[in-house]
Amino acid sequence: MKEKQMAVCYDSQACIKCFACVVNCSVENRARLQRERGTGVEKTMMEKLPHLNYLTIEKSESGVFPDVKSVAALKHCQHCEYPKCMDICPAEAISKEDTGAVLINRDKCVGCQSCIDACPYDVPVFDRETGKTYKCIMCNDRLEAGLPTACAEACPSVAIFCGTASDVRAEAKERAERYEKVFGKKFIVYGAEPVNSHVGSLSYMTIAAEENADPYMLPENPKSGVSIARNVIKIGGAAAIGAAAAGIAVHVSHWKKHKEDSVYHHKDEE
Amino acid sequence: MKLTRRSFMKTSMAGLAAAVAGGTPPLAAEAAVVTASDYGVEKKVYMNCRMCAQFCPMVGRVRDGRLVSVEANPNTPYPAVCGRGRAAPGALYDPDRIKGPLIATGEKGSGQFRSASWEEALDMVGKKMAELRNQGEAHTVAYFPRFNAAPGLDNALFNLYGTDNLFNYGDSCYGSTNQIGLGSVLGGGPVPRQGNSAVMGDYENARLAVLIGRNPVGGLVAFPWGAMFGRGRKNGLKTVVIDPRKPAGTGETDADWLPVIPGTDTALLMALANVIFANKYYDEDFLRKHTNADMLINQETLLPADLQNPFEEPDYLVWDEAAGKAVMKSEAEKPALFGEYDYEGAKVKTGLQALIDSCASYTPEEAEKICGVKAAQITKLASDLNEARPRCFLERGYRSTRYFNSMNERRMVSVINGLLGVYGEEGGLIYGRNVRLDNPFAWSENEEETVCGHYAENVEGFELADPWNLRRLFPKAVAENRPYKMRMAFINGQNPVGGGSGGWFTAEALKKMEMVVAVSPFWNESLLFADVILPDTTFMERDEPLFAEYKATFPVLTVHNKAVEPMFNVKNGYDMMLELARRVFDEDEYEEYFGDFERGGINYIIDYQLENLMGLNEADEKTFSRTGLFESGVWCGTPAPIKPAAKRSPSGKIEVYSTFMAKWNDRLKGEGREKEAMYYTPLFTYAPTYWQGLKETLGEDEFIPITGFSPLSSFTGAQTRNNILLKNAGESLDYDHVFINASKGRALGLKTEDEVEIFNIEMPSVKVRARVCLTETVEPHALFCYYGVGTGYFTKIAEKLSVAAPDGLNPNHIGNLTYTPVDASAPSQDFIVKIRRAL
Repeated sequence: MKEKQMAVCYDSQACIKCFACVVNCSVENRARLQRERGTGVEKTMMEKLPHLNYLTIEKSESGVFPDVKSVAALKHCQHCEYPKCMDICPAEAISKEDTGAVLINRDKCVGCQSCIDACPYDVPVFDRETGKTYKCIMCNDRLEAGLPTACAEACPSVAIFCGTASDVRAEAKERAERYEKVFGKKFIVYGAEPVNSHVGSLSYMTIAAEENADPYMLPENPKSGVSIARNVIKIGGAAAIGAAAAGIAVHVSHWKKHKEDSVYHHKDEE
Repeated sequence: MKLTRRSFMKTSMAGLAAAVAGGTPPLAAEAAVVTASDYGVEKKVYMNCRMCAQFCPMVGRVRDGRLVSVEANPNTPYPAVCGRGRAAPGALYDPDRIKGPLIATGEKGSGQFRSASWEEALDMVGKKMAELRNQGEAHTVAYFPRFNAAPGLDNALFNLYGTDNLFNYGDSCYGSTNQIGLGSVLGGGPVPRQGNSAVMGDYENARLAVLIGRNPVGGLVAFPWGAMFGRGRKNGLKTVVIDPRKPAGTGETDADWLPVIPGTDTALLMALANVIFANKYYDEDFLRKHTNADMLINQETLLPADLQNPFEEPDYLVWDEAAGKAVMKSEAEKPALFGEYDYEGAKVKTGLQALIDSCASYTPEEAEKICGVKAAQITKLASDLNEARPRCFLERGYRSTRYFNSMNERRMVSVINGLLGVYGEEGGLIYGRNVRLDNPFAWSENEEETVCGHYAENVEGFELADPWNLRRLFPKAVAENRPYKMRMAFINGQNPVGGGSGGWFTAEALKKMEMVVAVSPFWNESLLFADVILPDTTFMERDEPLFAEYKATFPVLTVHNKAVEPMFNVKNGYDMMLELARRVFDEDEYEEYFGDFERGGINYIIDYQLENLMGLNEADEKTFSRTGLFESGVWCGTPAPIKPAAKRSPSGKIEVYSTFMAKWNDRLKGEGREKEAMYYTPLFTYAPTYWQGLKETLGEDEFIPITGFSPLSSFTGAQTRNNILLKNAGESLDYDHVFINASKGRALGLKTEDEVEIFNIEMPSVKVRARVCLTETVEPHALFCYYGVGTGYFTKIAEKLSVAAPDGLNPNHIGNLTYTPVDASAPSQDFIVKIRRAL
């Protein structure tokens, strides 16, 4: 049986910062509005829609001229093994898919923004107009249809790649080893192994020089105090919801199992 | 039923409900039909990207007659479309596009227009053109081509109409100093010009790339250069950045940044050569085999002691160490690379020795005083190059005319590449190949002398100007009425006001025209000076002929098809040009020139192109087919061989000692033009910038305005400037700001986001507003802005563009109308600006 777990990797070393990924992510989300919400193509191309930029650019600078480091990092959902956003969501709107993608179900999202508080990477954004929270979905729809993520598809530079988690992890580690040899410094594949017990490993990995972990927003020990505190409250709340919630949970797993058996396919099977 | 993700999820939810009720969810059957084609595509269309001017092969994904997105054409070895290209639908659906013909109602520059019918607008233009032609004055029409409305046809139409007064933008771009700078070393005939694909950095296989004069990160040409650079980085390429501004993305862990004071790169290059010579870091074997390093040079004239049959069967005098005397190279057993000798009573040296001696006292410590880069960094660069060679190179540059001394800079770069022996080496500089396409349209020999030709032939300081790339001459020629009065300007997809330094003067010249016509799908500042605006389609809305001018090591031929029908009341450029032709030419002429095209359409051009395809070699013939081309959208041929070669130089060799420069140095000195002769020399000598002639040291509020491409903006046209798809990303880079050194900014009491006023100290009344960003990544002499983002001086245009930045600097608007010595290119950054807090 084919491996279901997928992964994406951003290789900051091979990146030429053309931001084709950032633009294409936005374009893909506009396409989602077209096919899912029936919004006209022209209309989707006329609005800024910043909340649908699931990949954003975080510029940072450290040091003093001329010994300065400047980094334009990409910010996106890391798709944690243990998504704190999912744990905290009171509406059960967030799920961890078999592909590894962490999704927010827009129809279920009540806009409480708990996930924003819980995310150790400060990723989800709240859109006032729709009253919902948004973040990268790892192009789960595309992965399920055998297509690469929009960011990987756009990359002219082999710097973003996706595939089965084991393939991606292997390629990423090979690259990091090569960079260490050439540049004589330590490189990490952030997320290939569990980052810590709080978030686990990540389905969206990053290759970077260890010295650049900060500007690339790759903390050694990501934590969210809020999610730990709130989790306690939520467990109490969930008990109050009672049987209904339990029933849903059962059927979610049933549906997922069904999907695994029959739906899942990817590119090399076609 | 087509299954979208939306309905898929709905189904899933319905499935859940059913499951709760005990039913079986019908998931399997429906979900299984999810295929790629459900994700936005009913049709894929082969196109060439025109979000900048590079024609990267792409595929448009079309659904319900609308362009949903674009992707790179996968059928090349380097599929690549950059951020700009990905935003193509944002340009197509830009609500601020010009939607129908416009006729000016206010004075030029006021931005006041009214709508007009095509009939009225075309009649107005056609009548004026016909009138001028009937008066024998067709040549007084200045034609400004760029993003052609009707590729292949429109340029021919103006020639047949009777004007060769073509004002091409090349003097601010590809057709500038770079061409002679490289050609003077590599060769290329009596006036050696080498284009952007003559040689290119083999980024993919290099170990070290020195980025000087071009930054492949922000820069253009995703296919193939961007992709080659990315693969190089994946392969462990190291970079050294010689730039007053440190770009993000050239390498955060591996790049050495040498923050050079704007315009002083030659000081650094001379010291680099000094260290290379002192440590014997050059490739002696390469110099012997492939260069004229052994040529004997007369020390008084700097000319070759004896050069026979240049270009044809060249032979030159060398010192034969075996015979102990000067003999012709063809007879020499062991030509000396070094040394000074006596020859027929004159002192002679080898070319290499002349180069060595010319920079012998120019140590890195000396250079540091001028260029600001630490001596140790220069020494390290030389040593790093030595370790990496031949898998290294100094970037051969692009849009290279920035300062008066750019010619020296480009030549020195090309010479040092020769010393390192990287021409024609894997990982070094590799050669390009192209096939050539012909055009079926007639071409007439117009008798009237052209404006640019007149200056090149008659005016001192223009002798090496390329008359086909001399746009910035237009305002000067209009002001001088030389050689005759220009009466009309026809701007075809170009932005002469925003795109070339001295834009203010160009605007003034346009005001003097009896009529200005502009063809463009988008607003730009030049259109403010038009009497009639004719909106054409974007590249996404029209079929085009084949295209072959790529910058690759292998020939590339591409197909461009229309993705969607034209929007609004715009006209396909071909229809527009034919309608204009009907109004200007008589019936017989029209039939003779355009009849076949009118009947055959775009396929008439394509058939002709394919029947007359030139430059295929034997290996290409085996892989090329018309069917294959149209099935893949692109055909890629065989790469040029990777081996060192000169391109028709006087000595037949790669001229590390440039005899072309020696000849011009001699001529200019002979004419008493010592100052210009400094910029035309075969040696390592420092020649100052224009701004250094104005002031030795800059005041604390003074800067040199430098500019470079952002990966999210291209030219001054609105395809990227007013593009909603680029705005989120662009704003996170502050792409409309001006960037200055933080401590210099703080000393002026400025902080990031402050609004400042900027003006050229030589034109203090032309002021521009911009927001400032303080940064440690800009050298203190420099004021950096991204190219093609800021609105600049002509703020009326901001009223037409709702997405574009309302302010920001375009240095071209406030730049001088100066010309680089003798080749008359655009010294686009060679002036001094002052800034102060805006009131």
